[in-house]
Amino acid sequence: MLNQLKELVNKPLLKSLARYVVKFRQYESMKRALNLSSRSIVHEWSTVGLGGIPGYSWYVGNAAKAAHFLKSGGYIGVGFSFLGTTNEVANACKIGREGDCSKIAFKKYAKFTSSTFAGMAGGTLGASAGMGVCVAVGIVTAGAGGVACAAVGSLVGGTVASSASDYFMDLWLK
Amino acid sequence: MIIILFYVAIGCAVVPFFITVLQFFIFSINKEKYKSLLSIYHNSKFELPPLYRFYASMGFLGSFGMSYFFSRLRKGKKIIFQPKDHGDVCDFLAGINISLMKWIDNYYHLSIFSLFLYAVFIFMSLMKVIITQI
Repeated sequence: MLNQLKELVNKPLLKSLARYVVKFRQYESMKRALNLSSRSIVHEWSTVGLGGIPGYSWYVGNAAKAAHFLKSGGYIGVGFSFLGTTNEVANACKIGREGDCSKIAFKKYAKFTSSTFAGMAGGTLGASAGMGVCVAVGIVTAGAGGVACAAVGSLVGGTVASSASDYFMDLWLK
Repeated sequence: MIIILFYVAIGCAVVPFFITVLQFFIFSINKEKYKSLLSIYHNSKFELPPLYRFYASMGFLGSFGMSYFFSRLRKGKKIIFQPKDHGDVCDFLAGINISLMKWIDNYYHLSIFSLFLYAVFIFMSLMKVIITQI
């Protein structure tokens, strides 16, 4: 069982994915990263369950923090995007192009609304796509691993959808 | 004709955002019900699949995924990444007080409608890309 666990946690994709999202340190083995011996794992696991392994709850906590970071980051991102758009519109209206002001405002705010919706929808769909990729590749999706897969998928999905939205909107608004 | 297509495309790109704003207000009004639903589920013997655990921890940004989970399972329909004991979860959700669940159906339908509109915009944009390249 321990060997299976070792194989599972040392898969290259899971290691690199988890390091970025859950802030794993750069160690070759997750066992070493947690400063655990095989004996201590088996002892702690059999007596107090998975949560009793020293360091495990810290990493699970980081996965929860990653989700919290994404949530806060999402709201902050929308806020900054709205402020940036408003700033661009205000600048365009100030510099002697008052005639184009309403046209520019329409274009900029249309792009903002489309990109914001695309980012949210892309994030939601990207999370399930990320989970699908993890399942297909064979990465364990139980516990923190699953949250990491969904978080990475959500980030990638949101970013790609938002960029695609800007590209498509430029097609119509040029 | 081109002007009509322009307004349809821009409408389909912009309206989903305003539906999402409406959803934000609906979510804010029903936040306590949403939290109660989640806590009822967490306190039951069933476990949320990892994807939905992620959605549940994302607040409003994850509420679209959770409305899909609750709304479809309550009607006994299949979902992506189903819980292991699908049938039992469906029965459990069907037994939850309707006053806690009713809003989530409308919320889910709004999400689907906004996604549909945006899909129309993407389709029209792709067509435009293809036509301009020919």
